Amino acid sequence: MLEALSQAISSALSWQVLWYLVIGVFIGYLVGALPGMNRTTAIALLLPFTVELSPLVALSFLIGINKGGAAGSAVSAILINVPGEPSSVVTTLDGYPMSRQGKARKALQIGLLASVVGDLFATVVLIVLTAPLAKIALGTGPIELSALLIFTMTFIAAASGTSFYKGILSGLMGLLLATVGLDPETGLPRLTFGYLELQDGIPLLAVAIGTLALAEIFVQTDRGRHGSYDRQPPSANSTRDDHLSFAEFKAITPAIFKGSIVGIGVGILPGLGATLSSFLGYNWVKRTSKTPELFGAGAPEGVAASESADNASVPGSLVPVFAIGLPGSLSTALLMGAFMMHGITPGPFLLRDDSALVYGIFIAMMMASVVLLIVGYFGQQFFSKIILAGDRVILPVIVFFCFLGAYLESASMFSVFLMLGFAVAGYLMKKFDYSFVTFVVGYVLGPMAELSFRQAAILSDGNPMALLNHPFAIFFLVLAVFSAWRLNKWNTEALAKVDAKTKPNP
Amino acid sequence: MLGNCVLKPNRYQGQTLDLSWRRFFQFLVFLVTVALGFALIARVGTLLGAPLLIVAIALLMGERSWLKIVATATLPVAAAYLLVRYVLLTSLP
Repeated sequence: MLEALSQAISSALSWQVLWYLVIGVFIGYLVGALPGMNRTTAIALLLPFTVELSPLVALSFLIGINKGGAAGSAVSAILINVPGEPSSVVTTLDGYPMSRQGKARKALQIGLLASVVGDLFATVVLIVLTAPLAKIALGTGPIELSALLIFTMTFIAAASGTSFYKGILSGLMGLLLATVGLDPETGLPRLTFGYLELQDGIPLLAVAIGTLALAEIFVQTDRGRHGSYDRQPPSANSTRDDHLSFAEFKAITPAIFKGSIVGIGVGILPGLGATLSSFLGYNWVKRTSKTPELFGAGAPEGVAASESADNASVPGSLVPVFAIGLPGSLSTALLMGAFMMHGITPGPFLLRDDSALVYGIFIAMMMASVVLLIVGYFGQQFFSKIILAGDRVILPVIVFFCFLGAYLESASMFSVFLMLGFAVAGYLMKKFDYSFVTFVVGYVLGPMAELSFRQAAILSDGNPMALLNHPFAIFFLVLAVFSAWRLNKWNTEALAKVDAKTKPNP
Repeated sequence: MLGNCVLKPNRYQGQTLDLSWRRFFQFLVFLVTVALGFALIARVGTLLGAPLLIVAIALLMGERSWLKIVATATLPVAAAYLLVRYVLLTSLP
């Protein structure tokens, strides 16, 4: 272990890793700050550029984007009342009022510090939890893994949209898509419709860039030319009380830790996402605050809670990836895709067989927290100006990068037009509220699910009663049914409340 | 129940997604522009096709400042082209 650790330290502390971390965090921060763009889009677009890099450098770069994006989304939420990402919606509640009171810089500093502390705290938890969980996962077989996959997909389907059935349908579409290509047992082509290009399966980047990046741009065009927001320069109404003092930082520390705990917990569970974690973190801090009446009118604790919860969910969501090999969110599904593009399968075997790489990633993640602090602190003025540039200039360039990303994976126009097809599918999925999180996770998990189900079927000889010898599998199947029922009930109740509120009075 | 929910539009997710024919037509215009732009890149090459694609989309989105349009259409394309050709050592159309 010590040998792997020293090897990890020497490779993680290289200039190349540090350089790509800085670029990754910078791009992530920028993309997070731009309204309408998000870190998942950036990861999908920049994945093809990492193919030539070593796995450690590539993953450090992508994790840097993920962390930077989570922190950067606070900038536009605070300055122009438009969250850079949905997870920063809660930050607008107190961040924007602070900005209007002439405390924009202070709100940005609180957001940044809360993000860095939450992120660092969650990274330590990730490092502590991964090895014991991986040890448990190593003792499981294909039947347990199949049950765990069913639980993950069901949970994500129930948690990530407003309709459980649409979620399940999206997951099944993702799984079906993953079966395109050569059959792993017989070697015969499946669902290729005679296209030689499809024999290796549908390219990950065509799916990811199409459904996540280009489809999002199609949705953005819905806002049309008239989508506008308050573009007041942040420095215009600055007051004397615009710097965070040490006493104020001490006062918001409990809120940061509460937010971080919620962020880690929600991040570990599949499908819940950073948006829910920032809502829950904010609510917890508000409920336990001595001055809850100040929340919503510019309470620094509100900004601290939502931002720490948002950022803590990023390392939290990586716990199941490293320990079990299961992604629970879009960004982790893409990171898992990046692992696979480098011929690495994340999960318990990775920790056992290539622990130097895993430790190297952990060290890079700690370094990313420090880089985040530096980039965020010195770049805030720059990012504040960039968000005022406007999407009419930025979105056309992103369309070109979508083309570039899809083309680079296979050097053929076939991938580009496939990506365009997935963009149309992604646009319609967004319009009709189909969970594209479940879709992409289903697609990424497809090959693993097929292998596990086939092995489980062989081991059990097709007899469902064989499950009785696997209590772990029964536990996860029961949990899948229970969570589907419970979350579906919550969704139905929430929709009924919305309907009751929007129903016109007779 | 499954059939009932299949074509039900997005009800609430923080943003209202309009499902009118007008919006659908706008989407189709945007889609056709992007598809033609990609086909143009395949036909005439990245250095010529990509700036035209960017100009078309910027105009479609309502940008009218020619200085901004020209800068957006040329600088990122040139930077990306140089990166792909001379750093990643990969060819582009």
